[in-house]
Amino acid sequence: MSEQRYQYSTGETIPDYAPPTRWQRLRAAIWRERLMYLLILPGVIYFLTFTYLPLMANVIAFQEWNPFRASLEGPIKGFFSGPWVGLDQFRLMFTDPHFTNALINTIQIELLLLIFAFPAPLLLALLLNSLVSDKMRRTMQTIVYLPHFLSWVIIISMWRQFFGGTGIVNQTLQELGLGTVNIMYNPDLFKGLVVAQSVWKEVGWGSIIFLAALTKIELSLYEAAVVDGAGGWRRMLDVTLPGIRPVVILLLILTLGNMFSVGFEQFFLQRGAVGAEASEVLDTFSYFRGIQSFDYSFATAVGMVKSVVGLALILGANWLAKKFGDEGII
Amino acid sequence: MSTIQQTNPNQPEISSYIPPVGAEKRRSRLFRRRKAAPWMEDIPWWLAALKALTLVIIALMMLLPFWNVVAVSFSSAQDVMQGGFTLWPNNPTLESYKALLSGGTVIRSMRVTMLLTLVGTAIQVAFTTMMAYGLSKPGVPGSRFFFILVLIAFMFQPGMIPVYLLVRELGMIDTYASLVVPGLIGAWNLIIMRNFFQNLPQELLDAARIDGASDIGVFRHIALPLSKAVIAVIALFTGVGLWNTFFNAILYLNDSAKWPIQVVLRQYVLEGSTITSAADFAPGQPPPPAESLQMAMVVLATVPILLVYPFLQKYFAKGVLTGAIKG
Amino acid sequence: MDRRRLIKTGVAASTVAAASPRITFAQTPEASPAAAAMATPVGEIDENGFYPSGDPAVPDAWTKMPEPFKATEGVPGKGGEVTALVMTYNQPPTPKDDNPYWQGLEERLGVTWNPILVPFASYGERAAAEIASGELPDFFYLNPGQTSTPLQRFVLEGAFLDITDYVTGDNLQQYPNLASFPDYMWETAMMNGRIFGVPTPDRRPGRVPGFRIDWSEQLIGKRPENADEAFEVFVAMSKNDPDGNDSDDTWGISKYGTGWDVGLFHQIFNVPPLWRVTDDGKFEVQYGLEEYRQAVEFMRNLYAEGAYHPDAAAMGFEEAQNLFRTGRTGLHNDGSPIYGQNGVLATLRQYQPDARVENLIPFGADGGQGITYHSAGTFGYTALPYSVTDEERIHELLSILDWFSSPFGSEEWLYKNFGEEGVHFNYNENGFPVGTDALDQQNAGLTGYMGGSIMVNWNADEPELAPLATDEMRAIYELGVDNPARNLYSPSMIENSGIMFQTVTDILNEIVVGRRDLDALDDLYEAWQSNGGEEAAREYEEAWAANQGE
Repeated sequence: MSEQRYQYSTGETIPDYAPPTRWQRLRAAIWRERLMYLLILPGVIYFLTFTYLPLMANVIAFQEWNPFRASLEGPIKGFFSGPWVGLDQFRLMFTDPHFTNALINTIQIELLLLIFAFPAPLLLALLLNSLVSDKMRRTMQTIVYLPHFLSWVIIISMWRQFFGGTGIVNQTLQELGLGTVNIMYNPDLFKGLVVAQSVWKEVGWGSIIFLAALTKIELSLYEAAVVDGAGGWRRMLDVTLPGIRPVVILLLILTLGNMFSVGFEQFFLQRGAVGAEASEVLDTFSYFRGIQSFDYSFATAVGMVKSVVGLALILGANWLAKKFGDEGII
Repeated sequence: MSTIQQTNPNQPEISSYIPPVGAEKRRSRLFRRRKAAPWMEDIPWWLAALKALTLVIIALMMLLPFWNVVAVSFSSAQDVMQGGFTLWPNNPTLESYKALLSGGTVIRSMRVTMLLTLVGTAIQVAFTTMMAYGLSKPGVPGSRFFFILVLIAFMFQPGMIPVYLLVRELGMIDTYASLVVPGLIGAWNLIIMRNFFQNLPQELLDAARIDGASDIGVFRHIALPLSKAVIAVIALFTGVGLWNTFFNAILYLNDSAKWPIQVVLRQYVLEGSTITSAADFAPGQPPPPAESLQMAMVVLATVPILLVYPFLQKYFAKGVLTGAIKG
Repeated sequence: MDRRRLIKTGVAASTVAAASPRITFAQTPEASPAAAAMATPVGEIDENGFYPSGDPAVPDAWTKMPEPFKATEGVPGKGGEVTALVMTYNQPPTPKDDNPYWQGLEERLGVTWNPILVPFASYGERAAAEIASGELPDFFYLNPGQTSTPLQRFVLEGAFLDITDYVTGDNLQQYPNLASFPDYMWETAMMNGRIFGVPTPDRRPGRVPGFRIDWSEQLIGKRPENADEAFEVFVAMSKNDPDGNDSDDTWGISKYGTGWDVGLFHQIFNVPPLWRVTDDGKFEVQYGLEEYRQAVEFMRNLYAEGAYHPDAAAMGFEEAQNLFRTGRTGLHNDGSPIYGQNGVLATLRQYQPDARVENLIPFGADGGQGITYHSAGTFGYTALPYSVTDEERIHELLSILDWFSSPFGSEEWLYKNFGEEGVHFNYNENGFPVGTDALDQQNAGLTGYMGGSIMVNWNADEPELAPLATDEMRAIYELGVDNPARNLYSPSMIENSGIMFQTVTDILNEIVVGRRDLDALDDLYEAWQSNGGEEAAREYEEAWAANQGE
């Protein structure tokens, strides 16, 4: 029973006040934010059409799928056409001796990348941001992202020019009488080499997003810090880093999600130089055993494992970030 | 709604700038640095030197190889024969560029690619920005669900053949749409942009609402101008991606007249120096060396898009924020 | 990768501008059998300039351009459209509206020609996508050796039309040019005894590497004739500065891709081309043989002594070719012609004006005779889609392929390769056609490798060189050995060849560069066997026995 409320001043009774129900609130919110849906919906349609719809074809990971026989059934039914083999493809993958090797290589390289290649763009952005001269900063920014545009074919060729068997480094060492070093053809050094190449290629490009984030930090915060007596380092720690923290956390989480995709071309091109054992990563493994032979079922199975684990990592990292007081991304 | 300028904390803020006098003036001239915001003290000389050294090393490491690429692209056979690391060719020649640019194929393809990049970037950035903003606003029912949709799309990418069949069913084969629409919204770009929008100061947006602006109005007049930096970044990422279109073009296009520049140029490089282009070379002259051709190709494939960054840079330097909160 | 030069060199052993440096055989040394064969042609050149090779598998030579004649009757097409999946190594041709060559081609064929050009490196993927779509173009180019063997599985599954009935027996006479193809060509387009496409002719005599004979004479006084001399000369090329410029910038061998043997080192040790069949029908793969072990040991030692370029393990085709053409290595195998404007010498002479190059025919390791590997004889074939059932349409398509296959000297051949006189080509003083800029831009890869004429040796600049090329090819052919599995069908190979070869390559690389020693050859053989090699051998044996039984 609702209570009658009695307004003493005028002598009237105020009609019932019942807090709105959940559904009413929902409908009100939807109506209020209706224009937001206008902004969201085209994108949703896009993702449903171009990601989720073709993603359903991933069922071929549970078949021995043959593109031609599938084509006879038509585009949609075709993906359900192949002989069903359950988890066979996955079993083949996990029992393949090269898979373990590829997995270990991939994880090791990714960890090295996280330690060296993730902070590097951030440090570079901080360095560039602290430049006084606008012109110099812009020039440096342009210079520093040049390597990103070169293809791996060119980059590896360049690195060979420097560090290869007849490269400049070796020539100089020989002239100095110090013998030669084997950098580009050394399986033991390969992981370090790969990380160095990645840092060189991407540090400038990766710093772009941090630079953009740094511009968002309010000047007034710096002024306030100075008033409080903070010196350069303190300002960095208390204003700058916290200011870009959301972006850093975000990128960290996304990078973790992409953990198993350390690259393809870079490893494919140097496979002959250092041997398969050192250079096999999940993507090359998937290529040689799957795509090259048009065994799409196998390739899809590998891709699914990568995706599932990646998603788990993202969710885990997100949970961890929240535990540390961050908002996380979800 | 007035625009509010923010200046870089390292830049002098004109209004509160106190010109240096006396010893301070001498010192600052000595170091040839414009005085930073008055609250910033000079950093110790050794730190400045270290910074300078680091920057010089980094600049050299990045610039030298690229410089070499350009130098080799202008090299003639004699230069290549001398070997070593070319920084300036002794006998510069335009032969490689002439070989690549004569015949009209490369130029035609460049036009095509530029158009594709400009229009495609505009479309893709527009859709990405709209969705990112829509997802960033708190209090929209279902927004979290849609975002998780995007996140899963980020992790799970469909295979080449299913997407090919879809593009085919939609009738997009052999159209430029097939190069733009399948990648319309990059999940990575979307997530980053959404994050930026989320970190816009909520007070500003609310203030505008209170002042009577509609949702779309807030989007257009407050949020967008404040986000120039991130939009510029995403536009850059998108533009470069479109400029580098390679595999999608091979997969979806039938008419080789539509080939973007990366596909066309790679056909030259892998050809080496002779075979088909024999007639493109000046008659009676030997063909340019393979290295030179290859580097000229790299230059042609890269420089146009490189030139875009400086134009976008101004959006990084100037954000839009200071004073708006304090008022 | 060397095969892509194939058709251009096959149809025109060397051609183009009169501006190329004049090279005569006066510079060829006398000693080798090849050179002896090359000094004077063995046979007779008749008054038309025709020089017969004496063997259907060896290309004939022409020293004069024959009068154009018609090789087909009427116009093959019926006015409709023809689509084709075309593999290309070229930049795109001028768009049709501005392309008189393309328009002229359509007139002569009587159809609208709408090719889908696909860069060769990505051909496999696009082909798979087309197959998955179920709507195949009218012409589909397949090349088991080049585009990828795994595509062959789709042939087996019926993606392509079985045209055996249309191109055998009396029916073949409808297509006069196809009728002139020797059997070994048709065999490469066959599977399980059925024909699935029209082959594209290629040379049958194998390819031998190009060799710096001037360096060899300088370093060891002669051409190498046994394994020891070969070892000596290649190491010397790396160490003894043959180009005399006081700088350590020459090496013996240009190696690219997976070919440590460079077309020579397997051959001198009598290693069979992948498979060998014993008298009682057993198939043995080369990796398990003693000859292979010897060859690998030889290459390993060469590498240890520095005869290979230090970056050889990772070197790509262009770089290896470039090293040879700029005078920094002494041995390279890519099938390029030596003479002519596209030839090796034209580029080489800019860097080292006194350079001399010859084709090095493999000798025996012990000083006797070596072997050469026969080429497949075709560069792929063109298949029709399974869905085409209308007899008229099939006849139309095959007639078009017949037109493409018109022989050297015919009107059709002239247009296909050189376009229209005055616009796309001109006759030079020797009476041979020479293409213009317009030709290169307009016919760039337009028909790809679909159909082609039987190979003939001819040289636009120096016609007298053509018969000598024929003689050299005959000498190569006589030493030739074939892969007995060439036209046999093995499901295991089709499915697993990618991983089988990759594993072998990985281990071989390790052995040659010295990271593992020679005993790893056992691992190599094991890997091959377990990845599908054992099964493949059995399947070949069955197919072989079935063939013998016929």
